[in-house]
Amino acid sequence: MERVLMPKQGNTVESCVILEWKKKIGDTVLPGDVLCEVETDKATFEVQAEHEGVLLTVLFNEGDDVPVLETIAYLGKPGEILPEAGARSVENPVPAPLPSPVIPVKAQSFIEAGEKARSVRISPRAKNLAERKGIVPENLEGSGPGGRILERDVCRALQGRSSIGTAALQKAEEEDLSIPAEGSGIGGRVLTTDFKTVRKSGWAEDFPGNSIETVVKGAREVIARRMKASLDQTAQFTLHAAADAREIVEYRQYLKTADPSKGLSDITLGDLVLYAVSRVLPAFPFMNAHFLGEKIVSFEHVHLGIAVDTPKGLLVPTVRFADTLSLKGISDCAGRLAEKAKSGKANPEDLIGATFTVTNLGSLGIEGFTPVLNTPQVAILGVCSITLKPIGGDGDVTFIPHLGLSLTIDHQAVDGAPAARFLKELCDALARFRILLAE
Amino acid sequence: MTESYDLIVIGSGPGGYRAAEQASLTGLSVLLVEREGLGGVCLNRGCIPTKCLLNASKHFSHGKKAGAFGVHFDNPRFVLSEAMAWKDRTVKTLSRGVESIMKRTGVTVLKGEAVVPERGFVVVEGREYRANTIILAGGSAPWIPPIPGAEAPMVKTSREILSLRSLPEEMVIIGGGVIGIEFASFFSAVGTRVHVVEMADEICPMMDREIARTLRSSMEEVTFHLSSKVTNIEKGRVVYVSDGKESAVSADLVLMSVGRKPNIAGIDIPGLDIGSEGIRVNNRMATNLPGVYAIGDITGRSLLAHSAYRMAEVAVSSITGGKSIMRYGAVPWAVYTDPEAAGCGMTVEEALRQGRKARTAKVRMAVNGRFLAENTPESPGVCIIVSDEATGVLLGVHMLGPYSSEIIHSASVMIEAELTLKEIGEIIFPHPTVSEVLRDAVLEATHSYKE
Ligand SMILES: Cc1cc2nc3c(=O)[nH]c(=O)nc-3n(C[C@H](O)[C@H](O)[C@H](O)COP(=O)(O)OP(=O)(O)OC[C@H]3O[C@@H](n4cnc5c(N)ncnc54)[C@H](O)[C@@H]3O)c2cc1C
Repeated sequence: MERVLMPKQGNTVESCVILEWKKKIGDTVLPGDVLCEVETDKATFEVQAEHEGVLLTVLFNEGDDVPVLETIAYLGKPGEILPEAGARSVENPVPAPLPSPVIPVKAQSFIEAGEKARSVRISPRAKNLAERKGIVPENLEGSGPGGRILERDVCRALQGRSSIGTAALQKAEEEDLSIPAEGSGIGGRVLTTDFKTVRKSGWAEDFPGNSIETVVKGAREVIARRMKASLDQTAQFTLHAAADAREIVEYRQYLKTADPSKGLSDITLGDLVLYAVSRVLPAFPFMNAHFLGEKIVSFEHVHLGIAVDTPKGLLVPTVRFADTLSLKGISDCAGRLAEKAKSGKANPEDLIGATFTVTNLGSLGIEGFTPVLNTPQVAILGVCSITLKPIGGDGDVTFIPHLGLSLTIDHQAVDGAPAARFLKELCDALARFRILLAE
Repeated sequence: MTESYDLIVIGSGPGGYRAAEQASLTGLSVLLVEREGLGGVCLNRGCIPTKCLLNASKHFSHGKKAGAFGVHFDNPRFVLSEAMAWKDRTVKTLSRGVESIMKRTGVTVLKGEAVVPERGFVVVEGREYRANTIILAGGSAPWIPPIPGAEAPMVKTSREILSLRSLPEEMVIIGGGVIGIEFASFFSAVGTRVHVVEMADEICPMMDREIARTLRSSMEEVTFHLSSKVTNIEKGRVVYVSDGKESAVSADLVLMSVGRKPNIAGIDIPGLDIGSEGIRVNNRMATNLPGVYAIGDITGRSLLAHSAYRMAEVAVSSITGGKSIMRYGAVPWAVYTDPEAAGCGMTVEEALRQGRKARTAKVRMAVNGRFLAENTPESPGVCIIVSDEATGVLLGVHMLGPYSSEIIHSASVMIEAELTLKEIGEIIFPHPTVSEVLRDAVLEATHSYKE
């Protein structure tokens, strides 16, 4: 008996949708026969039989989204008994992919490659095509199982759609505008004027003077949706604290003057905070966790999401295994990822898989804020600016530099006091940074 | 007893009869109410009768000028009564045509004045009729401004002037819009001394300025008094003020053509949104009240028969669940003067006002083969096109010269489809035709872009 696996398609594809079974249970197949057609967000391809035999059973239906390397069917001799009849076994013959969380779950980031459609059931490839061609999936009737919208449905809609002139098409391309499904021209033809929002004149009346309208799309659309969803679906609250910053400031100064050949002069204060977080977090696994509704998953290793301000908007690449990296290792990795994100070269893989996020507004003079959770992570640390704080002893007040820290947690998963303990531990670690380094 | 219909249409002009026909064809029971002749203003006292008369006057003046082409008529004569008879015959033929369309499509036609006291309810000569939907298509009527003397018998509107028995020797036309200018063309061609008094600084406001100017100067027999406001109509003369100075022109006939007003008398539906220009509608021809639609001149928008036709189709689409919308951007117009003028889309001023980078290209008809074969070289003729420099899209076409009215619909197609100059350059025009000037203007514009 032979297993048929969902083939692996490159490094980024995590799952494929089965479009159509080309063979029925009981059919005899030869090597090279097409068993089924599957689809990723990039391509449609065929799964071929590698062995001769009879198709004994199929484990997934058309329209199912199946992780790669999962068994989808069995080939064998007629009448052969199946291992666990009909079970959707998760038999993954390769070691679990990096990072290795405590329980394998799909980690997320603010922006993730291959965003899943929200309410409509639509295959990734169909969604891609629909987005590119300005087809609204909500208006389509899916021909896939359970009404799932497949690429062919989008193609059909494209054939029936209203026409668009070259001038309008060119405008859409040049200004990167998405094409409305129907325009105001003859027979619904899309015209150059259809890219304007209808309310234009109204704006001018209500708000005299020029105005610019920007369509919410791409990174902005994803960020908007994610942020709103984060606030909708979590119980966020934020704790503020300040850490004695004398040692980190001094240490940073010291690194600056170190031998340039060691490459330590690029280490920033932010990197020191990342380092401290990576060392303190493992002792607080409930903070290094995802809240998934019916379960909370905490992770052994610290994969730090770092919020980066890019021209396209907020991106959050991940420093993986931060808990195992040296200070210089973290600094190098974070620097490289931030650079890639800013220049628009971040890989989709860079942007997923974080277990905890750090966002830094300190260089902009922010003294405290309420970071928004990067769900399903349960905590996000905001790094603020350094301010002088009066510290009193025996009637004597001295001003000591302090680094502000704002920690937002999801109260669904974490309570206030444990979170405060983590924050206190972090402040202490920063205050005694030299000791932390030695540990 | 009240009779019930799915739809009642009030007014049988191009808007009303087209709406009745279309709605009936989709299976609705339709009542069409008309107080005068079937076909409305357009057929009985607008488009059609004026074109009959203008064709006659064109023959007359072409006959006088035909010597240049080797054809000589001795003593051509124009006989008004015969021209009027021809006009009446044509109107009758077409009106019968409308009648038979109504019969064929199963529309019930009712003669009489309709009063609409509320939604879904119509009273005609004391009898009550009900319908879920009403289309108001009552059209428009000449507007008489409150000028002293405007009620005098010598003052006529386009309506009465169409049954004139004898030609005046001298006449004043108040208002240099399309209707005034067409009558100026007719009367001047058949021997009347015509004065046009216009308040604005140019005739025909919808026209490209250069075309309007050229048309005006081509009407050599007509005296134009621009930027002039009529203040008084006295016996045998019209008094006007220009630049603060009062002057007068003598006339034995005055045509009042300063504008039109919507026929809303009897439309008493509570809450119906009626502006000074007419009944307000959206681009689906729906008024602010459910079940009440308005189309054609009564809306005060685009006072043209073909706009009324299209509005009718849009209204019926809305009523029957369709999605058609009324677009005004590519409605062509034509003025049947000699030479005729026609246009579609934006003038360059409009395009610039919209903040577009607009460009014009101009081609004289004197370079056109057919034009030269049929006209003396000094005859006026020009085609001006407006295009958007940013997108290369054709925005407007404005023409003066023979056949313009028959050529302009191709501009409608181009503008509706938002074709670019480059695309239009690929269209083949028949040769030799005057329409080739449009293509030449497009080429001209394309070349000037390259420079
Ligand atoms: C002299 C002249 C020349 C024109 N030339 C042209 C031209 O060349 N090309 C062009 O496109 N347009 C031309 N027009 C304009 C064109 O005639 C109008 O735009 C067109 O007729 C409008 O059509 P409509 O359906 O809105 O109404 P109308 O044609 O005005 O018809 C409305 C009808 O409704 C009837 N009616 C009104 N109220 C009631 C009521 N309460 N009960 C019963 N019946 C009622 C009226 O009697 C009338 O018959 C010209 C107009 C005039 C006056």
